Amino acid sequence: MSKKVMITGEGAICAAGKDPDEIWKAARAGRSAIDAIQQWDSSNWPSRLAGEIADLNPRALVEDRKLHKLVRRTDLLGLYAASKAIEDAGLIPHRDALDPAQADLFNDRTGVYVGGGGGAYQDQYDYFPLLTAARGDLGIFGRQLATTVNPMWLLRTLPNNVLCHIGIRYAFKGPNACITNHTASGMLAVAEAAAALRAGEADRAVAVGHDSPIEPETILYFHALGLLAADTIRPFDSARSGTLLGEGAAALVLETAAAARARGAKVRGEFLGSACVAEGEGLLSIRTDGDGLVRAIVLALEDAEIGPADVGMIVAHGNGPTETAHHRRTRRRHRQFAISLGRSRHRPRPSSGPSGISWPPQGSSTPYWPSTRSGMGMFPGSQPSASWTRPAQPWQYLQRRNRRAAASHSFSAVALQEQTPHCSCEPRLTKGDGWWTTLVPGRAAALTPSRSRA
Amino acid sequence: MGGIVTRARVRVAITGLGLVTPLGNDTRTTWEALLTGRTGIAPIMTFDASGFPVRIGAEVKGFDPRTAIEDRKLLKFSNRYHGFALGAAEEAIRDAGIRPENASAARWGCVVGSGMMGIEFGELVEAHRRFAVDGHIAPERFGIDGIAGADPLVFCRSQANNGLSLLLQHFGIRGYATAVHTACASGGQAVGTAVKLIRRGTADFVLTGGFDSMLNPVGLAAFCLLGALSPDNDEPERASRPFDRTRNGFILGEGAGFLVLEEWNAACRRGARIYAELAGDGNSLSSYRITDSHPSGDGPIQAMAQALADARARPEDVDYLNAHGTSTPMNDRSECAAVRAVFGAHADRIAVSSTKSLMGHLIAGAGAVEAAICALAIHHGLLPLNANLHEPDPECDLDFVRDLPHPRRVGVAISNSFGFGGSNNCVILRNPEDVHI
Repeated sequence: MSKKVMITGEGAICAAGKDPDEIWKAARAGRSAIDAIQQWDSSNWPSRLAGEIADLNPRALVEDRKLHKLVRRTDLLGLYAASKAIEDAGLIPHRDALDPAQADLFNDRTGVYVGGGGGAYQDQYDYFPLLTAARGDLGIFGRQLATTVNPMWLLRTLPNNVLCHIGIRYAFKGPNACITNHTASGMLAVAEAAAALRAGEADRAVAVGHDSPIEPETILYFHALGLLAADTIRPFDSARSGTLLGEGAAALVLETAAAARARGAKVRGEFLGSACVAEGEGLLSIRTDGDGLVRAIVLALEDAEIGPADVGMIVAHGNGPTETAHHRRTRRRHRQFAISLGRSRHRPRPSSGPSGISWPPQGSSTPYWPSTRSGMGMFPGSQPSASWTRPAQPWQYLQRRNRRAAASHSFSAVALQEQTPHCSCEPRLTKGDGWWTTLVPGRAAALTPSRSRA
Repeated sequence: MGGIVTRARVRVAITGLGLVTPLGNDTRTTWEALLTGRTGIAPIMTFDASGFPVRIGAEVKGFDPRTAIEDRKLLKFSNRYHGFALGAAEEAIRDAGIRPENASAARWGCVVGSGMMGIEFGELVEAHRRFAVDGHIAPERFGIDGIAGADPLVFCRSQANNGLSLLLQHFGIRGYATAVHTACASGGQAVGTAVKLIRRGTADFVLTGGFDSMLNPVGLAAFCLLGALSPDNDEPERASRPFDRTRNGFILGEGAGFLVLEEWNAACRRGARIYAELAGDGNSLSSYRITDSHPSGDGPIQAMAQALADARARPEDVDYLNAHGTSTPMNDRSECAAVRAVFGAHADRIAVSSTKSLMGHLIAGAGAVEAAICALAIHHGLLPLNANLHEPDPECDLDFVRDLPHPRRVGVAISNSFGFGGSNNCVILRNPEDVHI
């Protein structure tokens, strides 16, 4: 029997707030986190809205000023969320009270799993002054390189920077991964961290998802593909017209039940199971039969050793027909079923997984039941940045360009239980019949040609 | 280190290999070059590098993905290294003699180690021409003028997981799928993750590998700025000399390597040729500096120790080490210290080679390619060369493979991959003759 995996720390930041409590309160109050983009003058842009973190002060997120020169905005968010989760879990005071040998073992047995976006277009813009100076001559480009571009450019753009700097800051040396699987990245970071704990590869792990995709070129492509909402975001509404991008990060500290018990950790919840599948179909549209999502949720439930009737809440990816079809299929058997639309929080891409898990941060005495039909216009930032709310659009766009397209997605699902009836640690909240979240799905997508649609 | 936990035994077989490297566009050609000592390092030809401080590299030569992939539309969504990946993966699948079908597709997984967001240099130049001709991006103009010219192909090719998506689509894989990036450890980490998928019952088959190409003006510039590359432009064949006292940097390479993994018993039942058991995986963080491991080997030590424990192998079982061996002063010294720490006196009896001496450093592709080379070493009973080692470094006092050909039965082989950012990966392979169920 595999080890039980507990959640003992959490941290989050997004447009709706800078910690899980603040985000949760904003969500419950129905405050929209969507506003006009402030990072550049977007007044002439056809899409001007996003879930941007207002007045972001890097030094308030990460104290080390030297580090600011070595990381990007998305990395700051990830490092901040991780630091809050580690602090919340009380890992460092516990480790520092150990004798040196035990502290070394603690570090070697602490893993770090990070999901991120893999890069940003604007990272490359540091080469624009050099391109201007080179005037199309690569010889000049090469010769003037050292005087024009920051020598630390590559290190600043490494996709695994959050993983690296968590390790350096906290001296954690256990198993690790940096997952760059688009919207599924954050979820897979949690799933792989839990798998490592179950397999005995580590006693605890920090799982982080982070992204800051609000940059001109990404907005440009999403808009050109018809993926962005014309006005606001209305998941599952018949008038939904697209998504809006957001930024943020979330982190969880996961521990084996034994490790959590041994140090008397507060337990927020239990990780029950996960699954990840692909459809392997190609591009941006999705299978209308919900194949991938169905399999991901079914496998996650199997992994969690629970049934559909045990599920009290789904934090949806909110991507339209496919997911809705699956929800209808599973809903028949659900005793109680809530679709959380995360009303005032805009969930960024790879961080979707952990932020969805950590939110609501401490659970609630009742499942969260936001309206799925009304009020979404007021709370446009609620949904993940997934571009699947209007799947026909990219297809139509490509047809105009005489290209064919189909969808490729990887789906992941995680099942959680808020309280921990089998752990001797006192859960933060207790409820009579348990409270389950099946968190679904992240997905990876990319345009590829296919014959699957004409 | 310590606290290692052994797992229930589910064995994993390597049944297919595919390589596209600077030494050759398939496994056979690459392997022959490794045995004969033919280098893949030469002056850069794919773009004008004459003004760069470093003008040599390990380029893939004459590879046309259309020879392996018939789907022309798929290739439109591929950049250079996606083509390498598709070609190497197709070779691996054919080599294994099995491929996903409707009934099995959901039990196939795919784990890849891939590069950073991939923006081709020509596309960057075009964006500069349109929106930043004075050197600075003008987002206002972007918003007004950019929409009409936004090419979804560019968007797709640039996504970090595009290679994974192309592989899923081409092979019809419908199980667990993920892409990892831990810089130069990516390929090894992908292979290690793939092993775990089979062990935990998530998949019966996994197509796993790594691919990369940073051999373009921006990629070359990035490593030149860090001073990480060998500047020996006049002697490209000598420039990569891992563990030599005069080593002065690595050689940037490109390519892809893929392996087909299967649950051992299932592979035996279908009569598959098994190159080796993929017996163990170790994964650690150095948590020291972004670009270096600790001189003591802390970090890589844990990765190798975990891999041995995972494989249920003793240090004295190991016959061959395919070292990370980048040919940089710090890495090679640290790796040797780690090998000494883990293997003790037995380190003198392990044959060691860094195949980067001939094919350069394939970055995210390196770990997977080198795992495949270990499988070939076990399969053929021959060891690839550590080229250009003429002046041994006293701080790198291992038993390097310096003569050709070097026949030796290999019972257990290990492959190290260490990445910028501090991720370390070690995979262990076992001779199939030594696997007794």
